[in-house]
Amino acid sequence: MHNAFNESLLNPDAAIPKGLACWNQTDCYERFSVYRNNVMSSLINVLAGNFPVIEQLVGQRFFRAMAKEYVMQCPPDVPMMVKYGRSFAKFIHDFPPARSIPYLEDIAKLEFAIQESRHAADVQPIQLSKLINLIEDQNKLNSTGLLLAPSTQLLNSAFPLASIWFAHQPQAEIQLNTIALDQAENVLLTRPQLDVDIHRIDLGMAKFINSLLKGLSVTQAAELASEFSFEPVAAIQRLIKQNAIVDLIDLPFKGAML
Amino acid sequence: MSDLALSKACTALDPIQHMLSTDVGIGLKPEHFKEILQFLPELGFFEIHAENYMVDGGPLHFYLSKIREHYPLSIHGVGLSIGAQAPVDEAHLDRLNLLLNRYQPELFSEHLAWSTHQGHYLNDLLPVPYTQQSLKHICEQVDHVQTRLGRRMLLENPATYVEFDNSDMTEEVFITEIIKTTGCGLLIDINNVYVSCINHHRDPLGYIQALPLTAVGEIHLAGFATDQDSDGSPLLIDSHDSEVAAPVWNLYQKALQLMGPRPTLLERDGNVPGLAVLHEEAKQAKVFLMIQAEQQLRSPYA
Repeated sequence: MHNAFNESLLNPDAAIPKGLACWNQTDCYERFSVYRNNVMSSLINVLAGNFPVIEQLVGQRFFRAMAKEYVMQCPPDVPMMVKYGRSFAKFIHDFPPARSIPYLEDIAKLEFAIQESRHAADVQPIQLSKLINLIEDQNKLNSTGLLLAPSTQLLNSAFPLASIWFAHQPQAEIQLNTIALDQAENVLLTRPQLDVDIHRIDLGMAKFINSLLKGLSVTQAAELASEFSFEPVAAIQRLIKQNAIVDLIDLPFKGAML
Repeated sequence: MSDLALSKACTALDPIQHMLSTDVGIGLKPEHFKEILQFLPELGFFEIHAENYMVDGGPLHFYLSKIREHYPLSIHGVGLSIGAQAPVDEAHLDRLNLLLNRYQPELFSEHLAWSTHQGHYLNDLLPVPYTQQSLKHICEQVDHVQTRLGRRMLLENPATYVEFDNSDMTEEVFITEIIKTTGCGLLIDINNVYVSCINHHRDPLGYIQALPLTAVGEIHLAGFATDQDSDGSPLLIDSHDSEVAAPVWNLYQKALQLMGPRPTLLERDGNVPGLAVLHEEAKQAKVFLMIQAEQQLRSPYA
């Protein structure tokens, strides 16, 4: 019974399961359709809630048709609906009708990352005295990494990702048609308190944060970032302001080896 | 008798700690978080869907923790899938346990339904055939859930649109057997009773009378949508997107006469209106609960 139900629910063209009954001996088609509609429309609504900018970019009709395909191919694997759509960006990449909007995949990645950042674990930011002691000790900088808050996310895109996203927010100050679509953007997400902040950051800052996320020392991260214009103290101050630094990580061996 | 005195009088009769049998709650919605904390509306409790709060941190836990400081809480699961073919998912039970331990709700409930199959989550409450075999399986699941969580759960009667050829007992008997075997409580959803009984051409009041009403720990009320089956017969859909309908209010009052007042929740999951509108609907339920409580005090052996 469960198998037949499951298959018919996710495939609108499949026959309804056998063994259904109703008091007036009708074919049960309309009755079973209630479940089919509930499953499909509720999951499409979940995706619309998790990817509101994608829906605005492609329009409601296109969005619902695309989401329906996605639901049929990749139904949720856990009952927590805020987690539904992790593979939506990849699906969009492989979905031929969506190819006319080349940045759609990256916007889907950004929207899912915002959701993850919003619900990431709460952490206490590092005590400033710890950081001040670190910065005054050049040797220690070489063997210390920074543990960033779990709400920190970094995205690199060949498109002006954050600008497109901002243009689709209520009371947006930028319009989509004023954005140069060939501008690459690096986007940093932080959650200083309850709300996710979206920052456009330069290449140096992106390299620095990416290196810290990989577990490199502050010195190494700053060296890699200095390939671009980069000011390490300002970068760390910016992260402090965002409550994004949680702790120091001792890296004695890694630091000594490199 | 004043509302307060009456409420106090009812406390002694009520086995549920920190929550009164005359309390009315509403479903907690993120769009109402700030308004609730600002005005602290006179409501008996809030109910959340467990799965919406199965996240590590952020605004949901921040606001729920604040609101929990002021109100009793009911945690209502929608994803445990007790009626699935496979045993309940241990990872999901762990998540549920974490949430229950964190918030210590006065009530915990789940559904007589299934929603997962072979690793898929279908986001709907799907029907179960009422057979000896499924009864045994579901009793084992309820037993396991109650043991693992270390608390009694309330099981909610479903809204259904189809029945099964192989069912060999009624839903009322099936539910009664689960309660007898596992000791779980009953969350009676009056809207579900009405929707299912219209859909399956049965008498809603007869359905309620056939249940072990002393096991009822909570009542749900909600709105339904109206459709038709292939034959043109009414097909009601448990939509949770409108106000409680007149026949459901009517059935609620009759149910209260049978079982006495019980904590009652107004469910609204779609077209969620402002807090004030939900509060008004809650006040309507409160009136019926207080009338029933007063009648019971006057004739306790009635």
